[in-house]
Amino acid sequence: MTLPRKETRFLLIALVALLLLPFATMLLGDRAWLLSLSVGSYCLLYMINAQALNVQVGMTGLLNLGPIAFVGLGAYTGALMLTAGDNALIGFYAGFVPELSGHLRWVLFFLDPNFLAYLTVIPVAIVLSMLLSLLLGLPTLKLSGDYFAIVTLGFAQIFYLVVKNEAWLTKGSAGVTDVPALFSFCTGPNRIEFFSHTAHYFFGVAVLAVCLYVVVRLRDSYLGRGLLAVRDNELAAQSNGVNVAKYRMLSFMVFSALAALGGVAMLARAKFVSPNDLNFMESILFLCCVVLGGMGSVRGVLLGGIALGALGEVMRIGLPVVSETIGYEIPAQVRYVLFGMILILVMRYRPNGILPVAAEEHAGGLEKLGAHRDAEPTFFKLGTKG
Amino acid sequence: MLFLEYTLNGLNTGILYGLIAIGYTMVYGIIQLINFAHGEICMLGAMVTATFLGWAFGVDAIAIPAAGFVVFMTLAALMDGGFGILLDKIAYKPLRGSSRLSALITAIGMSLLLQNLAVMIWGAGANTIKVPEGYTSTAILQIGGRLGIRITFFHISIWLFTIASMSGLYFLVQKTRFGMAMRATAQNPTAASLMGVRLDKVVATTFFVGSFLGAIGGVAVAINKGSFDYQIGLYIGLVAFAAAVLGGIGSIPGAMLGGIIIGVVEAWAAGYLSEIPHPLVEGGISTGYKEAVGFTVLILIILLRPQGLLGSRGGDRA
Amino acid sequence: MSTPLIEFKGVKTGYGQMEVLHGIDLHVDQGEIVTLIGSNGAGKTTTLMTLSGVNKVWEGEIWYEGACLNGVPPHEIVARGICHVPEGRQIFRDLTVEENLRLGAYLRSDQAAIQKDLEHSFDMFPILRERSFQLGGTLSGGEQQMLAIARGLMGKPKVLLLDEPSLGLAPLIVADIFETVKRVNKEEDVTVVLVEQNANLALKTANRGYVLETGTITLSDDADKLANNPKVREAYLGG
Repeated sequence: MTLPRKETRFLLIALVALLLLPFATMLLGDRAWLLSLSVGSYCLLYMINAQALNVQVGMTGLLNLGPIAFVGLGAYTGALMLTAGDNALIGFYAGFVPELSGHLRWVLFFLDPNFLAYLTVIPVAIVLSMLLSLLLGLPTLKLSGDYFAIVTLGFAQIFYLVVKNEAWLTKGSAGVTDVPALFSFCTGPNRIEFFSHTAHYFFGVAVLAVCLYVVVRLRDSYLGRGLLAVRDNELAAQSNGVNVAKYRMLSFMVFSALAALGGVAMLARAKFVSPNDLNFMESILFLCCVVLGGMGSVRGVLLGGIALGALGEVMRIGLPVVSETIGYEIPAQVRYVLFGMILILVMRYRPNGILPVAAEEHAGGLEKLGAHRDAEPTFFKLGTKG
Repeated sequence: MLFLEYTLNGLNTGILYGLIAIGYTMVYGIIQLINFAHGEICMLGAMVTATFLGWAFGVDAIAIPAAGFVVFMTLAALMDGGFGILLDKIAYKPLRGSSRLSALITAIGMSLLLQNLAVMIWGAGANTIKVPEGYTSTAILQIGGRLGIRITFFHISIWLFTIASMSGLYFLVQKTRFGMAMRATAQNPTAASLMGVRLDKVVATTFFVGSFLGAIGGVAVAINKGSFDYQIGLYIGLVAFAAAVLGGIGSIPGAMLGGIIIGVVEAWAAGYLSEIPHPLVEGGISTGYKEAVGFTVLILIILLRPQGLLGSRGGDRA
Repeated sequence: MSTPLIEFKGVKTGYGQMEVLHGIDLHVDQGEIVTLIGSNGAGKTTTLMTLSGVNKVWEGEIWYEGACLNGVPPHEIVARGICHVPEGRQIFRDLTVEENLRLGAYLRSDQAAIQKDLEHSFDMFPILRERSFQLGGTLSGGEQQMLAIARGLMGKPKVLLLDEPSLGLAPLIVADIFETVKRVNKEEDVTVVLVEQNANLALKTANRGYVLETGTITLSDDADKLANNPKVREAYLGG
C-alpha cells in the first residue's frame, strides 16, 4: 500500500510550502506580499472548513448544508469570550505572565497573554460546537440523508436569525468589533510589523495542520473504515453490524469540532465577526471545495480549497479592475454562476472530483474496503436484483 | 379582531406557499429529489411576468388592462413550466441512477446558477409587477377601520385560482388514466415502466405542473410583497419546502395544508412575537424571528413526524 | 425451422461496473413455455429485466419478431407485446385492485375490450372481484401474485415473462397459479418465459428449459430431459 506514504509526503510538502509562502512573496515587494497574505489566509480558511466538511460529506456521504453555523459558532464564541468585560480574559493572563520585551516576545510567543486567551477559547468553542452537533444530530441522523441536509440548512438560517436578533449577546447586525489580535505584539505600541501581518496566517497553517492530522488519522483508523462503509453502502454496512447512526454522529462531531476551530481561525484573521459572515452562500462554497476536490479525498479537498479560495478572492479583487479596463461592468455574480456550474458539471462528469489525486485515492479506498461503489442508494434508478 | 386579521393575512400568504409547495411535493413524490432550484423557478416566473408586462405596456405604465395582465402572466407561467422541464432534462435526467447525494448537489448548483443568472439578466435591484388599477387596493369587503380586515380583488383571485388548480390537480391525478400512471410511478417506477408507462413523460409533466403553479405562486408573492428581487426564490422556496414536508411529502393536499399552516403561524409570529416578553432583556421578542417560523416548523416536523401530517409512508421510500 | 420469436445472441449486461450476464445465447419459439432455472444470483431476473428493456444490453443483441430490441425503451417493448410480471409481485400498493389491473392495460385504448378483459380476469381469479376496490397493499401474498399475473395479462401480451411466481406462496395456491399459466399458454397462445427457483415445478410446466449458473448458460434441453439429467437432479431437484 503506497498510497498513505505518498499522501503524507504530499500533505507535508503542501504545509511547508504554505509556511514558506510569505517569505517567498516578500521578495516581490510590499504590495505583492500583502496580497499574497490576504489571499493565502483566505484560502486557508477554505482549506480548513472544506476539510472539516469533507469528513461529513465526503467520507460519510451525509450532506450538511449549514456548516457555516458551526464555523460561526466558533467565531462568535471566540469573539464574545475575548471581548467580554473589556478583554478581561487577556487581562487575566497578563496578570501573571511576565511582560517580555525585545525578541523574547515572539520567541516565547506561547506566553503571550493574547495567545493564551485564544488557546483558552478554542476548547470552549469546540465543546460548544460538538454539543450543538450532538443536539442536532441525535434526533435527525436516523433519518434519510435528504432530511438531514434540510435540517442543517434550516438550522443555519435559525442560527443566523438568532445572532442577528439577540443583540444583547451578539451585538446584532453590527457584529462584534475590535476583537483583540492573536498576539499583543501584533497591535498597539509594541507592534512588530512582520508578525502583525503574518501571525494569523501562520496560525491558519497550524490549524490546517491539526485538521489534516485529525482527518487522516480518523480515515485510516477502523472508525474511518466504518465511515466509508456507511457512505458506500448504507444497507450493507448495516447488515454487517455497522451502527450507521453512530458513525454518522461521529462524523458530525468531528466535523463540528474542526469547523469551530476554523471559526476561531477566521476570527484571528478578521478580528471581527458579524451576521454577514453567516451567509448561506459560504456553506455552499465549502461544499463546492469538497465536490471539486473529490468527496472523501484529503489531498483533493485541500487543492479544492486552494483553488476556490484563490479563485473567489482573485475574482473579488480582480473583477472591478477588469471591468474598469474593458469599460464594461462585469457583475460580481459571475463568481457564483461559476460555482453553480462547478457543482453541476463535476457531479455529472467527474463525481469523484476533477483532480487526479482524488481518483487515485478513491480507487485505493475502495480496494481497502472491498466494497462496490455502485451499490449506494440511488436516485430514481430503474433496477432490480440480479 | 386583530387575531382575525392576522389569521386572514396568514391564510392569504399560506395558500401561495401551498401552491409553490406542490412543485416540491410532486417532484419528490416521483423522483425522490428535493428540487432545490424550485424556488428559483418561482422567481423566474415573477421576473418573466414583470418583463412581459414591461414590454407590453411600457415600463412606466401606471395601470394596465386586466385582460393583458392575465394573458401575460399565463404566458410567463407556461414558459416557466417549460423551464421546469428543461431544468430536469439538462440537470437531473443525466443523473438518474447515480447517487442521491449527486442529484441533491446538482440541484443546489442549479439554484445557485439560476439565481445569479437572474442577477446578470435583471440586475440585483428591486423589481415590481404592475397590476391592473385597483387590483390590490380596492377593498371588496372591509371590516373595521383603515387597518382592519380587507379583501381585495387580488385576494379573491388567488383564492379562486387556488381552488381551481387544486380541483384540476385532483381530477388529473385521481381520475385520469395518466394520473393513475403518475401515482403508479411514484410508488414503483420499475413496475410502472413494465406496464408501458413512459417515465420521461410522467417526470416532464410533473415538472411542468409544479413549475407552472410555482410561477403563479411566485408572481402572487411578489405582488403581495410589493417588490421583489432575485433572492425571493431562496426564502419562499425554503418555506414552501417546509410546507411540503409538514403536509407529508408526496401528498398534494398535504402541501396546501402545510402552506396554510406555515403562512398562518408566520403571520401570528409577525403580529404577536413582540408582545411576548424577552426572558433576558427588556422589551418583546424580535419580530425578526418571523422568518424563522418556516424553518422551526420544518425541523420540528422532521423530528416529530417525518412522514408529515398527511403522509402515508415513512419519510423515505428508498 | 422458422426463426425463433425471441433470440439472445451473446448478451452481456450488469449493474454499474459489475458484469452479471457473461454473454448468453437462448431462444424462445412461438407458443412455448420456456423456463430458466438456476440458483440465487445466477442472473435469471437480470435476463428478464434485460429482455423487457429495464436493463441495458452491454454487448450482443436481443431479437424479437425479427427486430433488434437493443436500446428500445421499456414502454415500447411493452407496446410490442412483451409483458413482464416482476419478482416480488411489485403490485402498486396504494392503488386499488381495479386500478392495478387497468394499469396493466395502460397502452391499450379499446375501452370496451379492456372492460371485457377486466371481467375475464375476475372470472379467472374470483377473489380479485371481491377485492376490486381494496388497495393492492392490503391483499395477501397469494392474492397479490394473482393480481400481478392478471395485471400482466391485461396487456394482451404475446409473451409473458414470469419471475418467481411461486415465491412465498402456499403449495395449493402455487398449483393453482401454474394451472392458470398453462391454460393461458394453451388457450390464448401466449408464449411464456418462466423464471423459477422451484425447478421441479418449473420443469413440469415448461416445454424446454435453460440452466443458468453465475451468468452463463450451462445446459439447455427439453424440460423432461432436464428433469432426468443427473446433474440437474443433484443441483436443483434435491437428488
